[in-house]
Amino acid sequence: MPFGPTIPEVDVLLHEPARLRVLALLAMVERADFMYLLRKTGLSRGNLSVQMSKLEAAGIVHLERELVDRRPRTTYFLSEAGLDALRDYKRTLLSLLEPFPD
Amino acid sequence: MANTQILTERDLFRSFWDDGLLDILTGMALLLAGVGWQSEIGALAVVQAPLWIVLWGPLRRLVVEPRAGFVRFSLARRKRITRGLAATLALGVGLFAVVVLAALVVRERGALPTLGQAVDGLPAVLVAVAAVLAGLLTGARRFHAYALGLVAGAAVTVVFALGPAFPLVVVALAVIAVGVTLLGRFLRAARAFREAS
Repeated sequence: MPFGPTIPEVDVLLHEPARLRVLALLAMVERADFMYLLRKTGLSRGNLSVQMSKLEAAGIVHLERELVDRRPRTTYFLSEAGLDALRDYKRTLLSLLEPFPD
Repeated sequence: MANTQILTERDLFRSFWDDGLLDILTGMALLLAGVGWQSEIGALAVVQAPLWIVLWGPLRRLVVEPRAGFVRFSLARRKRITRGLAATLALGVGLFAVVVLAALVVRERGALPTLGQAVDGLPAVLVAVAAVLAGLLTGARRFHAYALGLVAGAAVTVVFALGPAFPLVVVALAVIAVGVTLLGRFLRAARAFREAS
């Protein structure tokens, strides 16, 4: 058992660079489809597909399918749990880096 | 140190308008308003303007979204843009119509040729006001350049008595040219992206 305060742990699910880029993008908008995420993150199709599956399985992002002009459209958006996780992640990073000199 | 550019919501929103579609439709509305002005339609030429803007949504879904993807911005952003665009449209079309009618009345009476000549520049100035607002709302600074072009065109038309349609048609052609260039660039970039991914 650790003695006294410890260095906070970082959420490894969010800490992965590709996933963090996707989440940062989704945090800026209400929702976006796969193509938009692909274009704006610069990730490969395969990589993005894998990361979205992991985020969806963890309940960080939700997926919604709808028909627009009789064509299917699948969009991703941050879940409430995802927003909370991002807020916690930001707090953790800030507390970790706060003592670091500018 | 690496030169990194941080992507912000504002940048995302600005890039949303970079495909040139809005420019082409705006240019077409302006061109038909100018051309119609010279014909017997006169002031009624303004009525067709909103129809072009209505086409933007379906055309974006057809041409842009399959290549650039779909995004929905935050509710606050969407409310701001919807309110702003509606106000811009109402202001632009409303003022335009008022000035058109005023110009027609002045011409009909034929008593104030100097004022009539000055009024010829007003439609372009009013459209320029709408262009400034559109630029502020979309973050697309080129709309401010269009506004400058319209004001310059208005000045030229007043000085040389070229008629109210002149600045509208000239700037419309420039706006369409910019739009076509942007759309071409967008389609080429989309093709390159598809081939690379």
